Amino acid sequence: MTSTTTAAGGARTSPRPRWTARRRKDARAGYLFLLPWFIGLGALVIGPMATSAYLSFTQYDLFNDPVWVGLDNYRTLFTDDPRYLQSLRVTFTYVLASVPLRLVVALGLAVLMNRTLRGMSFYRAVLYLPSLLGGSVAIAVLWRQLFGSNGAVNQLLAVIGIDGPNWIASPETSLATLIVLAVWQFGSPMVIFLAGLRQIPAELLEAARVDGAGSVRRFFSVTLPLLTPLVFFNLVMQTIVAFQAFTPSYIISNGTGGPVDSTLFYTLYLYIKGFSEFEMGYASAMAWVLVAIIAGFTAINFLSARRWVHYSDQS
Amino acid sequence: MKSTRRATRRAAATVALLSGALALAACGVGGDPGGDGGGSGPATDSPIRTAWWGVDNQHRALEATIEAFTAAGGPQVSVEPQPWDGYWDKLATQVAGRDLPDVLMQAASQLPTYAGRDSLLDLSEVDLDVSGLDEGIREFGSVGDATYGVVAATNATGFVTNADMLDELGVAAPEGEWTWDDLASFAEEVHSASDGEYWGVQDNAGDLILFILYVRDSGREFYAEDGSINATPEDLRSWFQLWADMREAGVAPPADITAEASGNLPAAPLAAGSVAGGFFWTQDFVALQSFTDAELEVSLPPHNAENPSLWINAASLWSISAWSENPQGAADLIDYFVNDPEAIDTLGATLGIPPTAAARAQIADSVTDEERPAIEYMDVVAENSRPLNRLWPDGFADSRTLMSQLAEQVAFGQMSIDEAVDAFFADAQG
Repeated sequence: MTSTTTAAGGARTSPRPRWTARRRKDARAGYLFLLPWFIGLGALVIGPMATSAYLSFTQYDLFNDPVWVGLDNYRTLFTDDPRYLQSLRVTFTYVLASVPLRLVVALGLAVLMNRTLRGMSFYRAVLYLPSLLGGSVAIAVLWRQLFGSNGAVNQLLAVIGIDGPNWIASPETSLATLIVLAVWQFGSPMVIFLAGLRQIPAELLEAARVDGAGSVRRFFSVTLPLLTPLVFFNLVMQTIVAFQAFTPSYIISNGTGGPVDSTLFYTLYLYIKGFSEFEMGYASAMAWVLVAIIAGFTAINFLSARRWVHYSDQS
Repeated sequence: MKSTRRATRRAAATVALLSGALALAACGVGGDPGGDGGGSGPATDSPIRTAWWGVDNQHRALEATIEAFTAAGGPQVSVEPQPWDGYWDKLATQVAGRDLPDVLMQAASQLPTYAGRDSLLDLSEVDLDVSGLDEGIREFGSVGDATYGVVAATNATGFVTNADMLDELGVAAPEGEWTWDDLASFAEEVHSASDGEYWGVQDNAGDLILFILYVRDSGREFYAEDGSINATPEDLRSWFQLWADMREAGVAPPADITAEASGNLPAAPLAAGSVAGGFFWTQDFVALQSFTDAELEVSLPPHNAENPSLWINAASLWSISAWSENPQGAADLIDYFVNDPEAIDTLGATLGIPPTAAARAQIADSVTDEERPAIEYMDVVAENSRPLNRLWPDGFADSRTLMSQLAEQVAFGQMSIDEAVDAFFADAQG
């Protein structure tokens, strides 16, 4: 940090370069080439975001003109909407359970896949498959079949004499089935971990081996520390994705978040408010609170990173 | 956040598509010129737009009908078929832009809102023949003194029983007048005749429509004329208690079985053959019959002749935009849907049961074996029903959702009946 600040400070003291006609022309051409992107950014991102920010302070049913209500929507969220608080509970549980589990599974499988074996690329492809399918509607439907009262899981359990619960339709277990579904989609962090494992210098591992470190010790003392930048990257990305999860709950609960709101994800509740109950202003407020929550979690991740992420070129 | 929302809408569209693909395919018969499509009045040949929601086979049948309408001398019609998801937000934005399609599909719960915003045409201003419609349905699209919607297909709730199971058990299906207490006795009879193997009836405690029947049974209306709820907390308490007792006695399925089947017709205990009876809309009866080999029958829900509680409901309701530049052309199209013999053939029972006795007789031979009992049932309903006093008020959809949530919480033991009753009325008044 300090070195970059000085460098910037140094640049400021040097005389400002004179703008020749040629340079101005180049700059114009540059902006011209950027223009399509700027238009897209303005019309498709900044414009809608500004509108949604405005709407979050209004009561808007799509039908009548928005009515300015100040902070009422935000106040209602936290003081007068038990379903909203329930959706927060569900979403936090989902994020805090599914993200670490998914990373552990992804890392474990990446370690297993990181060896030379005949047909290894085939296994890697197979293990990536769930992630290609995972977010899709078809898999959510499949999940219904697997975890239904007469689903495959309970039929397997019946073989060993266990009378399984009605996983998807019981409030106690329904969220757990969605967490399992999320963990199952470990493909993209696994691929990233795999790439990282290949970057670990063989001589370091070799040196540790010579010093008498076993494979467990080598993993925790050499591999894992060197992998922390990727753990960090995956943690940040997966947390953000998990907060935005929508499809699994939407399909498996038929868009209700049931049974008894036990799978009422944040985004699902937002959708219900906006598009079923036409409370678009309220839904916009929810969206902005979600932005704040995700930003908060990302900030926490970044702050904590100083303690546990090691960049090999900085040591 | 916009991208999340776009993704959610995409997901919703996918679901709708998927459920459309699951629906039975029906044949769209191509148009053959003939019949009187064109009307009188000025500018009836300027093009019109029409929008509706539905699933694939409905889209095909409507598009074929509309092509035949144009071929028969009607104006050019551009179509905007959509799935249910997204239909109402698009329509609401179109109202804001005064750009409604000339002919649009409406819903009983939305029509008063649209009419109140002066966005729909008072149908007395156009020439539209509804004289053939069943009496109970002619005024269905009325708000106050004006009519804003025409019913092109109907449905109704019925009590569906598994006839094979009842034969096997030697239990008689309810016949003639019967009460909601008789329903509990029926369930108990099935349960004991099968030595506890089958449940008597599916748990329908969360169905607001049935609760409305329950209230109308006493001769009252569920909604007062001003749209407030007429039913009392005592009504709701005894309703919830009726179902709680049945669950307690083991004659209705436990909460998790009911939750698993919610919104998922193929998983309905009736289709799975674990229960003898349940309440379903006529179109669901048709779908259910295709999921099971057992013979299903549909009959009237608990009712008394003095105060028929059932009403003929609109499965397909059509309105005209107040800003239409060709209102008569639009009216001709709706007229064509309802009265033209060729349209009646093409549409069959894809939108619901035809609202005229003539149309029902016309298609009786061509419909499938699954559809026929539903059509015959609507004839029974026509004689044993009482029109609703008013269309659903604004809060109807919310009340309906809330009711099913509360019933679920009661069934799972997370709320007492008294708490659920309080919550329902607190919300209705708030």
